[in-house]
Amino acid sequence: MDMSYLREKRILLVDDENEILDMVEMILKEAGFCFICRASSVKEALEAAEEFRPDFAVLDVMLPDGDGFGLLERLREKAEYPVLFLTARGEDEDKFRGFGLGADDYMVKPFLPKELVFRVQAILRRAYKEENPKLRLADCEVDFSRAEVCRGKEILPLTAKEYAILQALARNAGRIVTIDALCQAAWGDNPYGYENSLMAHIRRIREKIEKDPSRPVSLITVKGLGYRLLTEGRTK
Amino acid sequence: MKNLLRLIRRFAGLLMLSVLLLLAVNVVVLWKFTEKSMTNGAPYTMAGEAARALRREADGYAMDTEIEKELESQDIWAVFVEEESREVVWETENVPADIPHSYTLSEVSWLTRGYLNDYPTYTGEREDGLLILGYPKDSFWKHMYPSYDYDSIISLPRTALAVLAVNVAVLFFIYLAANRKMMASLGPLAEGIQRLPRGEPVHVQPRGLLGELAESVNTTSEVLETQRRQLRRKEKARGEWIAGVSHDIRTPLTMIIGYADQLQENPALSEKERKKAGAILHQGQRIRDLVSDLNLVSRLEYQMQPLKKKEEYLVPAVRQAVADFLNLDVEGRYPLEWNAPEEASGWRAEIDAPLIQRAVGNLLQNVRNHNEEGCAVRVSLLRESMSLVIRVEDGGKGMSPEETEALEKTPHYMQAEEADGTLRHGLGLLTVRQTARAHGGELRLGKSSLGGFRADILLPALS
Repeated sequence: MDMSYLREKRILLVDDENEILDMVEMILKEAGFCFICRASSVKEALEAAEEFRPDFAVLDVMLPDGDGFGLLERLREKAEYPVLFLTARGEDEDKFRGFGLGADDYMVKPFLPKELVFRVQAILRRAYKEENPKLRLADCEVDFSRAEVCRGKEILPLTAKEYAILQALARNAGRIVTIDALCQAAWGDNPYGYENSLMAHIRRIREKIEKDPSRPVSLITVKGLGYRLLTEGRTK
Repeated sequence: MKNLLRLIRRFAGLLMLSVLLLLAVNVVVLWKFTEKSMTNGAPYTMAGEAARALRREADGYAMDTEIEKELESQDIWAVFVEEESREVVWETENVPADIPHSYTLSEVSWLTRGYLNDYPTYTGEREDGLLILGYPKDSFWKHMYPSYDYDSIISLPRTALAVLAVNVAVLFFIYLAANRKMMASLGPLAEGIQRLPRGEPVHVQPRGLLGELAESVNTTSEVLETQRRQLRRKEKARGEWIAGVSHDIRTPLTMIIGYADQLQENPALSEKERKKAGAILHQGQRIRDLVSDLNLVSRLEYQMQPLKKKEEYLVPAVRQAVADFLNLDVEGRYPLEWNAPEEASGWRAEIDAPLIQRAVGNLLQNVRNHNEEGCAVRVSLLRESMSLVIRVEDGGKGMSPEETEALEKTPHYMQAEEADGTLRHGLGLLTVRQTARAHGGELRLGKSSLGGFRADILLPALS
């Protein structure tokens, strides 16, 4: 998927450690994001939000004049944009509190720069959908805005379940998505009992996206565990 | 309270038994005692024998010498009254002067039943008359009117039994009345002592006979409570200290890992420098995992991590941990075999799914830590009688049986009271063991059929 449009997004970084701010800023800049604003306290963050008008914020939880949870609530009073917590507090209660307040993701320090970039991109992709988002696979293109698969001149519509499954796979392109996670995406329920239905849907998706459905090159089975979607440019 | 009732029952039984035993002893002693002193039948026998020993001779009557001596030795006098004349026709030499020599019928009837001039008298019958033996005054006490209603004789055993029962009841009542206060204070005391080991605070009213004992129980409870509170406070402080340290380590570690990762991938650096950066990154990640495991272990150890167990399917958590492991293995150094029967998807257990996922992730991370050059990995789900087993095994270096045994038996330094520097397993394995135990299960280590190490997490299955 072409994600260049996401690089225009304005990102607010809030952390009380200047060195962490330096590093995160550098990581994001190297990933192509160029509109970044920094703040090291709740007060600074609120002022920056007012002037900078961010599209996305990365917040620390422990700040000298308050905490990130309270900051998120105050930011949300003014505008709705996605937020990622990046904090050293890794307890479940903190995570649940963050997600409960509507955070889009929660990362515990220390982290790998690549992971941060992937997560930021994933959040932005979900929040700011491209007008015509297309996923390029080995033998076709998937147009999620129209729920269609384009293979040459042929246009194959996707059913609602196929769309949900394919989208869950595309969001994690290149990674194994477990059977349970796919069932969750398609049926929003406990996976037990849906495994056979999932297999049937996967078969139908393959018929639409693969040249030879019995020898798939894009939608790969990982036996017993789940499936992996290989986008163009990635191989097994 | 149950024990107290048992105590009372036991005491009542003992009391009954004692009464019966006492009665039996009394009867025996009385019988033995009276056997000697009660010569109730002896005077009558003696009278009969003497009557038979009296011979009629040509010039009157004569007594057998032996009997005569016997009578004399006991200071008994004897007279023989002839049938027809009612006159004394024979007498011993020691007959007192006030004994008459002739008798009316009423006198005979009187002396047969009782006394003659205060001498207790006994009679021996003969065809030709009556032999009267007179014992010394005050040697016997005779019932003059010994007659009883026949019905009362018949009901004597029943009456005796009833009297006995009344006696026992009265005894028991006396016991209860005497011990009422003791029992009243024993009840709360027993209950208090039973509550002590359960760790509940105990306060027994220090009243009654056992007041001092109640005060001791109260003091013990207070001491225990204080110790428990102190221990909890210490454990909480220790847990919080570890949580604080691990939090503070994370910020500098973020920069070490972040920059090392960037340096490792910086094409402007030489291969050698990038390798060094890679080593820093790798060690940084190890510290990160250690810190995170240390935090979890201390939270589980000091019960700061509330377990959110609920009935769930087991497979999704395990599958997610495996998928995460494979997603990180971009170079494909750890070919993984997933080995679970079809019905495993339906296996349910009472679990805190994120903790189980983390435990499986830790076992897989262990495979990676100990086999950096890569190896085959197999994750299996099995059912063993009442347990569900998550098995993670590898074809790597493994361990000798001795090393495995040492791992199983040596407590981790987090749990050991003394550090002696012997081989200890990593924190990762400890978190897995604690997670399994927190679920009522166990961690089992051994050798894999693939040639390397094998770890089984056993969890209780839901039927």
